[in-house]
Amino acid sequence: MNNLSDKEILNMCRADNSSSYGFNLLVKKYQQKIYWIVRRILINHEDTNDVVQNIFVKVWENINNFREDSKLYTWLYRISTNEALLFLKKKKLKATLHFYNYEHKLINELQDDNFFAGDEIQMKLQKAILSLPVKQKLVFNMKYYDDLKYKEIAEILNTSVGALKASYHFAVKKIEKYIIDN
Amino acid sequence: MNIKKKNINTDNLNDIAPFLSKIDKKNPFVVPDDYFDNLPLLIQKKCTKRQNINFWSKIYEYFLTPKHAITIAFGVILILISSIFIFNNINDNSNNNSFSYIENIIKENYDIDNIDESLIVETLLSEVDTNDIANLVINNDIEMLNSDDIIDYLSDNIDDVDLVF
Repeated sequence: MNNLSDKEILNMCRADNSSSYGFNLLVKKYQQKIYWIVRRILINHEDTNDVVQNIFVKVWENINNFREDSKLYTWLYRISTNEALLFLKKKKLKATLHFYNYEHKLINELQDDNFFAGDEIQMKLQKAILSLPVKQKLVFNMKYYDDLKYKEIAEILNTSVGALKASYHFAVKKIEKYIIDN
Repeated sequence: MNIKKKNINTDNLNDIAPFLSKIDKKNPFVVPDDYFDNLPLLIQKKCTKRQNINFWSKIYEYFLTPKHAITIAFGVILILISSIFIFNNINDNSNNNSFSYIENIIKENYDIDNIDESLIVETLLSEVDTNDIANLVINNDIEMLNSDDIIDYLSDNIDDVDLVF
């Protein structure tokens, strides 16, 4: 698609005469990665679509504030995770006010979801992941699906490697138990 | 007794979750056809729309933040207090100037030290220009006075009405 480095894309985004083109390249390069980060947290495609668009608008508005202390991907991952969690928090709050459990609703929706193509065991795995606490869910997704290193996850979630290892261990154990029990 | 600390290798799923490790690690979710082809355009449109947000609504949003609203409120209060203070000083000065001006005229023209009320009114009517009276009224912030009010006021406060008419 495009072989430009992150640095080159960032420079184009920040230059007045190429900002739109540069940003378009950034979107094309990272849209799928960001989409799947958010989708695995929110499950629902429509919600994910809204949040992903908002994430890129936020990136567009703050691209000049990115100080390059971390990699562009780490920065994007952090924004995506925060936005997805914020959305989830609002949904959960709304669910609480209407006296229903949001995770249960997601599990029910997953069974009828046209955009879910997994088999029975995949469905079981997704239900197991949905039953995890938020932090364990994030760490599991980052490690299991995205193959991120603990150091990278620590940078994104701003936490220690030791805590992440513990979270991942508990998450895996819970998922294993869920699969065996169900 | 030797206690061996068991190291759990969390990177190796086989060690901690044999069932999970057998599940094919694939993405079970799908997206609508051509979704990723159209997404950049949707994002571009959204960014452009955000950029074109009305200038005044941006100002409005800016002022809505508590920090700015409090700062602006303090600024307005400060300006109001300063205005009242400055306005009062101007009035005081103009009043002092008017009375000293009349006093000087009387002293120069009549060469007397004791000044009574009728003399002041007589001098006012003969020496002070109507524009000066108008200015005096304006400076004293008497906006709603009409001719009837002035006549009523003078009738109540001046004994010798003929001096006025």
